[in-house]
Amino acid sequence: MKKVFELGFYVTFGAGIAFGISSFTILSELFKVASSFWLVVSICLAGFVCMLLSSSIAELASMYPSAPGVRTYLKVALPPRTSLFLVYLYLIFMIMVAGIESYLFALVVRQLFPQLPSLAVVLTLLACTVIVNLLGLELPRGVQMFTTTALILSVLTLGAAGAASHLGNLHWDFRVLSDHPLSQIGDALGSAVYLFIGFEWVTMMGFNAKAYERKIPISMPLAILTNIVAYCIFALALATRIPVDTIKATAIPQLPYFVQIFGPRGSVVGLVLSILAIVSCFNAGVMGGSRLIYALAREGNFPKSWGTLSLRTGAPIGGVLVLGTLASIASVIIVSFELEEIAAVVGSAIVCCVYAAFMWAVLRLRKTHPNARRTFRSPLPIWLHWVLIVGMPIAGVCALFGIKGKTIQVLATTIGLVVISAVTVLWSTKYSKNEAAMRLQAKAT
Amino acid sequence: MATTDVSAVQTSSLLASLHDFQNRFNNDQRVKKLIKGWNRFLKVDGTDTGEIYTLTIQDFAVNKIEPGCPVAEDNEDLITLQAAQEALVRIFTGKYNPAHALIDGALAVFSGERDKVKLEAIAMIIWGL
Repeated sequence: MKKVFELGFYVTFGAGIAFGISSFTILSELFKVASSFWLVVSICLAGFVCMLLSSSIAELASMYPSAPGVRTYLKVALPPRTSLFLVYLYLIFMIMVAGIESYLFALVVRQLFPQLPSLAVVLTLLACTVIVNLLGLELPRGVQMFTTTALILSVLTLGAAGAASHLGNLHWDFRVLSDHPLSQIGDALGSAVYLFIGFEWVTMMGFNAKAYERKIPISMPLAILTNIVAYCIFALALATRIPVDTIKATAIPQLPYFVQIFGPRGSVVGLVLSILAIVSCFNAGVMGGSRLIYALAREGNFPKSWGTLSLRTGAPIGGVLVLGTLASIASVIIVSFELEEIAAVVGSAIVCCVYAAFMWAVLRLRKTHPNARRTFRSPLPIWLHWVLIVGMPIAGVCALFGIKGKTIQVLATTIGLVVISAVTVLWSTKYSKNEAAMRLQAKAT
Repeated sequence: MATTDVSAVQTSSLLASLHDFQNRFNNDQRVKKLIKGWNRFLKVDGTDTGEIYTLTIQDFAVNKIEPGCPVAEDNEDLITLQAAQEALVRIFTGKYNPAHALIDGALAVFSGERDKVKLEAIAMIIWGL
């Protein structure tokens, strides 16, 4: 029974952290670049690619069990500045996701309470999350499993119930095959990867060393598979019940869908699902992000105060406050300029590059540490690693061109974030006492 | 007062470092403030030598260090630290910051997230790391 609970926890954790409110926004984005048929194909393909990636991430996790994933895997394998640059990009992505999620939550709340200003809802949500984390309150494993299971089962049930009687509306016939499928998949694939981001966080959660031999390597594809099914069914449900133009025009397509099924009470269903998503995804994200800031501060990459701990609760209060502040700034920018879709697509491109770096890390470590202990070894052939190392960044770049009419804003945002990361790397190495350590690490790698 | 049963244990550098840690831990008032209500078993596992010790933290003190692990693996109060013996010795003598060791991949910690941070906080207090 305990073994089943353990595996169940890993699967629900991986699936839950990837399933946020912004997942629905990405579905809306995908409808802009692909027809319902190719959209489903793209989601399955992106999920399959993430499953392949997960086997390599599992190998890294088996070498460094319980380590703070993205920082350790890249630090031990890649040149120090490259690894730090990618970690900062990943951190910026997490901050953007906090901004996007809180903004989308505000949009859902405003459907029920239109008199509430978006910014007030966003800042209240962030303040509550920061307070919960400052107090050192941790979501029990059972509650995490319950909220994720309730969220995904609800999406599956409501999607299947809504779509079942209207499948004829899909109009899938041989003509879909002649409608530039490669172009549609190319535009959708990079964005679709966003739907699964976060599955790898489970590698920090192993109960014991043995979990890294089988349970964690198996849990990641299972979590991805769960989300593939949920996203595909819900995407089909949207396509059968809502006009495509309506889906494309909103960042929260789940709401018009629930209103279509339940009438005005559909907004309440949307709010309940959003709260479940906030509990399973948003809070864990803020907690993980603050831990990453704390770890980077303890390493000497950020000011020492950012690594402050509460001696009463053990909470990383420096990291929580910094992340809360940065997420609030991101939220204000996203709310003011309605940048949620641009931020989501840029975030997706960033993570495509980080995932490619994980694959590269596996190959480098096999070369530099051939005899290191690996309790799990990825069965992927070397050539497939290289295909993914090259293919993932290309998919990410293609995603940047997926939002028609906003290419310049997307590219400007991307360049801006790259510059911020590069400058922060320089700042970390030059103005901290970390330069000597970096030289040593460079020598070692 | 805290006692240590070492009768059946062959003294090693790891054990010596654990005793050093025990002394510092038990004599630091700020640590006591931090570990209020925090009773845990700390399993220290040297992956290259197979040496295993378990520290019992109870009532504000490390009051036992014993060879092996008398606690079931799925006990929720069990925190497991795994590393090469040399790294463990350096960690328990304050020469290697455990936060750095975790990020470097030199140390694995199996516990709840809060327990990980608590251990780092203890290291911060004892050695000012």
